[in-house]
Amino acid sequence: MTENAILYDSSKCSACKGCQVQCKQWNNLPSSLGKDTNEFTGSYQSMADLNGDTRLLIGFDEKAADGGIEWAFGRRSCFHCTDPTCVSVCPSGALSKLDDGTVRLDSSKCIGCKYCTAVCPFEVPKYRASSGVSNKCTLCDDRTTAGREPACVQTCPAAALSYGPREDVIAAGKVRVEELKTAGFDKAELYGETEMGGMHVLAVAKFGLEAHGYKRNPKAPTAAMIFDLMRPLTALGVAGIAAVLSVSFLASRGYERPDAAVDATKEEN
Amino acid sequence: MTRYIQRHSRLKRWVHGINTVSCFALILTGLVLFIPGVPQAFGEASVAFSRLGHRVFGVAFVVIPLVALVVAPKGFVHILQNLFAKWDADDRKFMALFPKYLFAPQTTHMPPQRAVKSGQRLSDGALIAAGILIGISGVVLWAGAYVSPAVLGIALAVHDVCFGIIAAIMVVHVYLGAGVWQPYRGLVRLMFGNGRVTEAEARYHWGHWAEEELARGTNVITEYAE
Repeated sequence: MTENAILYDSSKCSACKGCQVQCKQWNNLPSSLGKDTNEFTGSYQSMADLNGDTRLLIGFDEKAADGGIEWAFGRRSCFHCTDPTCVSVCPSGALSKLDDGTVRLDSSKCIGCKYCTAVCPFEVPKYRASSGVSNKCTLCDDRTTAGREPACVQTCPAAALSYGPREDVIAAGKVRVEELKTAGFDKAELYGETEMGGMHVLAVAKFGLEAHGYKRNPKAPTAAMIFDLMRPLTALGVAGIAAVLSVSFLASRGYERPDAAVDATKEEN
Repeated sequence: MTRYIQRHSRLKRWVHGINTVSCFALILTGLVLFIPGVPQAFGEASVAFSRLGHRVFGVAFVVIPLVALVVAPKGFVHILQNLFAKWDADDRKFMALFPKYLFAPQTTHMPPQRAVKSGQRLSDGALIAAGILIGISGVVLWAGAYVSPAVLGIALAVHDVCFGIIAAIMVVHVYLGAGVWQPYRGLVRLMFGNGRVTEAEARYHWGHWAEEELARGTNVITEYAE
């Protein structure tokens, strides 16, 4: 099956947050609408980070530049890694990898253990207290399996988001990076081609990865290795000890503690 | 006439009993994390039941020892004193002989021991340390929505490692403590009975301690046959 991916072009993004709104709308996720209910982040970014009710966020980074302010926007959501640490540690099978590269989250199977939250190198899955399960972008697999684009892509008015075969997305991303470099943006980079085995959400970072909030050389944390190790180790350890003790039990058959002799001696005294 | 020594107080037996129930309940309800087939086989209801049960028994596992600590701080100090008692030649000899004893109790003569055998001091120490850490990490996990993913990762790793340690030690603890193994038959009543050992049992298992207790006499109970 063809692997698909989203391409986010930060150089085209106007940070209108339409994608954020559409994500919430399609996925029936509530938003804080009351006055001052979201913490002020010091910029136009709202909210400070992803949370249990927010799967997609446009990050704002602003710098003073000649003639005004220079903005660097970043799309923060699940990157749908080829080597997803969250899937490898999920004990309930709620997280799985689809053939098209999507890292799917089936909330009905999620047990709220938060293992995925702890091991994601991007800190993307968030615990949703209201339902007691994890929450993250599903790449709108309910739409894509029906031949539609993810909701965020469909709604983007600036065509900063596109969706298609991963190979085409990579090619388009590389072309765009070259265009930006030619236009004088020397630090322009494509993010997601090789990171975490290759991701299914790629980004054109106009001002370099760091400016847009993308982590360079992301790696699975050590905790993930411990989870993978401890399950078989505990099972083997317990089974091994039980086996040794079974041999001990069999070897000790017929043994009687010499209590009787001691008691008899005491009786005589 | 049979002489007994009161080895464990009622409070200690109750705390141990509640913690035993809590511990097994926590293992059972924690299986949904350990064996993916469990929630898949039993459905959402098993997940909801496990999550609630894990929290209820988790509270009991943490709170009951703390209550006991407040009610009887001297008892806890006594436990620590026994755990950290200096090892003597008999303690070292006991540990050296234990592997052989485990498979050939008929031909192995074990040296006399003090209140807590040297091997049990190691396993109890590890159990208590792992119990404290798994309790603390459990509280952090419960507050998962309010801590950073990095802290959550540390708490989960600690929880998993401590579970492995506790599960492994529990197998041995039950084998010996519940008297499954022939030389330890009858010792289950120390924690799940009246907390007494016969003089003969005491001399066999804890020779030095038995001599001290019999000489002191305050914990010695004499029963006469009718």
